[in-house]
Amino acid sequence: MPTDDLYRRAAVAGGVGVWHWNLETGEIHVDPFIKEILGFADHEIRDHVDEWAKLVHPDDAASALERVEAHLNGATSSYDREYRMRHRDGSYRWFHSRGSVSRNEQGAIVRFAGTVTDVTERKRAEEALRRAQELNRRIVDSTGDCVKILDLEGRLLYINPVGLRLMGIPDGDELLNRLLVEFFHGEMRQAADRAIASARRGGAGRFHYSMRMASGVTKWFDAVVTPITDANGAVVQLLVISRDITERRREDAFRAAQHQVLEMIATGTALAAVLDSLARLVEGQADGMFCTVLLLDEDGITVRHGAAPSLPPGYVQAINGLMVGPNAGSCGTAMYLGERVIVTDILTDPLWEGHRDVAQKFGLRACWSMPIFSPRRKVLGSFAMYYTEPREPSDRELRLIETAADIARIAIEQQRSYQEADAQRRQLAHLNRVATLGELSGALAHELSQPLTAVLTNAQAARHFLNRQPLDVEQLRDAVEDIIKNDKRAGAVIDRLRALLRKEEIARQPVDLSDVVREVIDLAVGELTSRRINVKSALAPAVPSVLGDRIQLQQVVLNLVLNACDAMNTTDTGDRLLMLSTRADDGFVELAVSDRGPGIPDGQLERVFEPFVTFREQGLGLGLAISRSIVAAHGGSIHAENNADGGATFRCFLPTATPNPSSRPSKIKSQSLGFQPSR
Amino acid sequence: MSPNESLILAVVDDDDDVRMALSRLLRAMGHEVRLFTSAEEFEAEDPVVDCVIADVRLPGVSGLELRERLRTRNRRPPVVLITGDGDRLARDFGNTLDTPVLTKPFDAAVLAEAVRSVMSTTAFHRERHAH
Repeated sequence: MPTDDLYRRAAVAGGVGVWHWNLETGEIHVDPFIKEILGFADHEIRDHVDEWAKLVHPDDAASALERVEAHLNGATSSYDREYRMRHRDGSYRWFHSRGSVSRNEQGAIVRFAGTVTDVTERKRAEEALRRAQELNRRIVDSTGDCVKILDLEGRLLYINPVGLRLMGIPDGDELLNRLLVEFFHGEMRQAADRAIASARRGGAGRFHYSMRMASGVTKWFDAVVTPITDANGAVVQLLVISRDITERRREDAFRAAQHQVLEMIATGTALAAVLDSLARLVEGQADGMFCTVLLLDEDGITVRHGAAPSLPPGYVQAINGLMVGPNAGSCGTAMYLGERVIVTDILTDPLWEGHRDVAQKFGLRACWSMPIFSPRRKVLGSFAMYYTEPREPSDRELRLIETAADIARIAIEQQRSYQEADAQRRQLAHLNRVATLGELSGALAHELSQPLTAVLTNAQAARHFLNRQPLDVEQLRDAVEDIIKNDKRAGAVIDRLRALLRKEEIARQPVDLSDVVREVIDLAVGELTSRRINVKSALAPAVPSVLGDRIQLQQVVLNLVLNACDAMNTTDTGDRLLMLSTRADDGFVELAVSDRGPGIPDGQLERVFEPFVTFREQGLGLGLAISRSIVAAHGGSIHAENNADGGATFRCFLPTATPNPSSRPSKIKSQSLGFQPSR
Repeated sequence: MSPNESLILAVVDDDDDVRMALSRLLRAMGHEVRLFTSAEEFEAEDPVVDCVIADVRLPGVSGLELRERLRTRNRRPPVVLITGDGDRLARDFGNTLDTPVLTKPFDAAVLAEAVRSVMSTTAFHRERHAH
């Protein structure tokens, strides 16, 4: 078939070859450039349909032939088929063949001709696209994220199986074509609206939402909305990818709450409240979980209730007072063994033999317990998680239980150290206020009560005599003389007391006054906190030592501190400031204790140091008198002054220890307290 | 026992001034008074009295011990204790002490009431001697 050369060249440039098929002879003429494409020279392929049929891919041959026949039968208006042909090197290339028959007036075929085009590149591109799409589909289906496609109005067109699974919905059909924002309310809905609008404009939007799953559990998601564009870059659809951030949020919340609990511990909140918060905090980390904190008694065997905010009181009562042992439920055993005990099913586990009924009564099935250890590995208690169904802990839950046990340890330890400090403080205060004064006042009461009894009794006897006629002047005079005598006797008792307060026996050793102040602040911290008193101290770091009795000097500082605290009872809580300072001052160490109380009344600055002089409603008025006597016995002095800006300052000067070879620890001998302790 | 009835009362107190004052008061109230400076002295004489007023803290045998000793006897006079340190006694005995305890200094009326009360609850009556 002769072809116009120009036409052919144009066709070849477009990758199109012309063919002409003689149906009677089977001869077929194909443009030689098609043969070239297949790696053959023109003469290497005979121009016969059988030759060409051999080159067609066996999978494609039958269908191609069918199409030809369909067209020849008149069933189709044209022939159009894609098939592969084998290259000389054995590979296959794709061709698109199109053609049609021409018929004469009788309808007989006179000619069958068409074109064949090498479409291998397009086919490859199509295949690549198909694969890419398949890959996309598999990614979308296999990701852990929920993937949705929305139309521009925000209607749901597609949701991946993961999304359905996350929501616990078996079939997504009922969700399709609904507006996505309809699933949300309030602020979440507004955030979703904004994110969708942003994506519609070609940007990206983001919002967080929570959703109640079919299981009843609420989950949190982070959704990113991006536009899907067509070939022209026009936004046609919206892609929403939502990631489950429930765990992340829980962990964030857990960390925040953990800080809160630690803060409670640091500020001295009662242990029960701290443990309660801790248990609630951990319970917030999982659905359907109950937590308990049990405390082990000092005896090491008795279990005490610590916290169980979500378990019924009946269960708590049943546990309280039980003994630990080798099969005493999860917690009792954990505390006994000193190791973690995981019971996945209470109903079958032998550890729960003796306590199964109680657990069953309250529907508890799983219990995992972690002992709480002191730094010295002493068991302080246990932290436990309960579930109402048989269950094994996840790694995360095991980590959580360890963290919780650790926080509980801090709380328990802190409370114990507070208690110890408190006990020490009480002991010291007791020594100071109760024991010392108690013994003193017992002796004193006896010493004073005798003359006072004599005075009163004589006075009442005198009244009897006055009522008698005739008046017995002699008797009356005797009674009155005895009244006077005993009143003087009472005065002498007080004089003796004053004298005795000035002198005491003290042991001398070098003492760092700054250390003493720190010790007293430590001891009094509970008192200061409970009275809402802020403490500021300015303690000289290398203050010279003074020679004296550490305990007595502690008493002086404590007296001054407690005196300052008492002085601020009526001060507004925000203004209660106690200031303590020490400094070296020319052979002396100065200790100053300042308060923000009302100060000392005019002309009374010296009197406050006298025994039984007090401007407070409580107390005997001996604290400052004792302090002065101790300071005097140390060769020092103490005085009070009112501050220019309110409150009072007590200044105490103690001589520094002079380096003297003969100054061994010695005793200053002095008169001992003359009073016998009462019995 | 009428308030005006004249009783024989023993006062056991080592404090001269207190002992003297009580003697003066009780006599002024119309009673007969026997004075002792210690429990031992009282026991040595073993006087017949209606009631004993004894200080708790005495040299040697205490007022409390004296009370115990008198209780073991058949014919025992009731005891009223007086003390300069009532707090301690209350701490040691609480309310278990069935003996009136007066804390010094006390009012004359309180003492009279304590004597009256302890005598009315005790099945002891002094053998009336002619004297």
